[in-house]
Amino acid sequence: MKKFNFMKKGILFFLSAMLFLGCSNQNCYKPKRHIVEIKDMKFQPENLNVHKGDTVIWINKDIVAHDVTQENKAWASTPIASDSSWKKVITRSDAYYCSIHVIMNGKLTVNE
Amino acid sequence: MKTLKNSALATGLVLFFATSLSSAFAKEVVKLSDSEIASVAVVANQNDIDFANIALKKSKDTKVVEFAKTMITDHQTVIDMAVALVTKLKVTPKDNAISKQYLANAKETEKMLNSKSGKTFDKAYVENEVAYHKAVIEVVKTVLIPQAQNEELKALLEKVLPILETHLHHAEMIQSEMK
Repeated sequence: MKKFNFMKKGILFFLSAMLFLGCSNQNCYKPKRHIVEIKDMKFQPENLNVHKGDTVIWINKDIVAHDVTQENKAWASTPIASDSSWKKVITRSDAYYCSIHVIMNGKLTVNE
Repeated sequence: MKTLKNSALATGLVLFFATSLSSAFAKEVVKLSDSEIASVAVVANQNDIDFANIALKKSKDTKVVEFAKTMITDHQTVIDMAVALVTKLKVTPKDNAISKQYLANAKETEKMLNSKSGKTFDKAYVENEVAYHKAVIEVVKTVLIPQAQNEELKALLEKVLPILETHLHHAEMIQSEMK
């Protein structure tokens, strides 16, 4: 019985250690959600640091439609109407702009 | 040489109208009621839609065409919001010195734009957009926003201002790429 309890404790310790080591390797990272407001014809914040796998939600607070287009058009949203939003899971650093109002720019930096 | 003269004449016209629009109204104290402010807002936006429609017919330059499409969409949105607001407030837009001047100047500008084609047109259109937005921004900042009595009308004008500034920078960017 004593031997069985010792084994049980050992297994528990081993599993806990695995879990701890796994999380420290960031395999247990829980993706976050970030908000970018499109307000006064600007992406706010203009520069955003995210973790790989995080979701960015762009919310249009302006009265005119905007979009979110990767600088080389690798990806793009559909037009985002006033008071609407669009989201994307971010896997790499990218610069982006609004293809409707081309002077509006933003940047996403992925911290691995 | 003729093109150069025409272009210089167009520049002169654009600058003349833009200067007369901004300085005449911004520096003189023009008192406007909310119904008059609503009229100026609608006319100023409609003028730019009319200029953009000429551009869609005449231009083959992708950047100019895309810019013109944005002008139509954005200015129509502002008109729709202004109309919805005045309907809600039961205000009827009322003609006034500024809206009448805008209309008269727009007719001249349209005449000038319709007389041009090709790259000369593109240059004249973009030049007019730069001057026109500068002039309207000045009037919105110094006349319309300070004089608007209704808070919702004032808030709408304040929302429109950064849109006009973005249009101006966009037009200036196209203009600098043309040089």
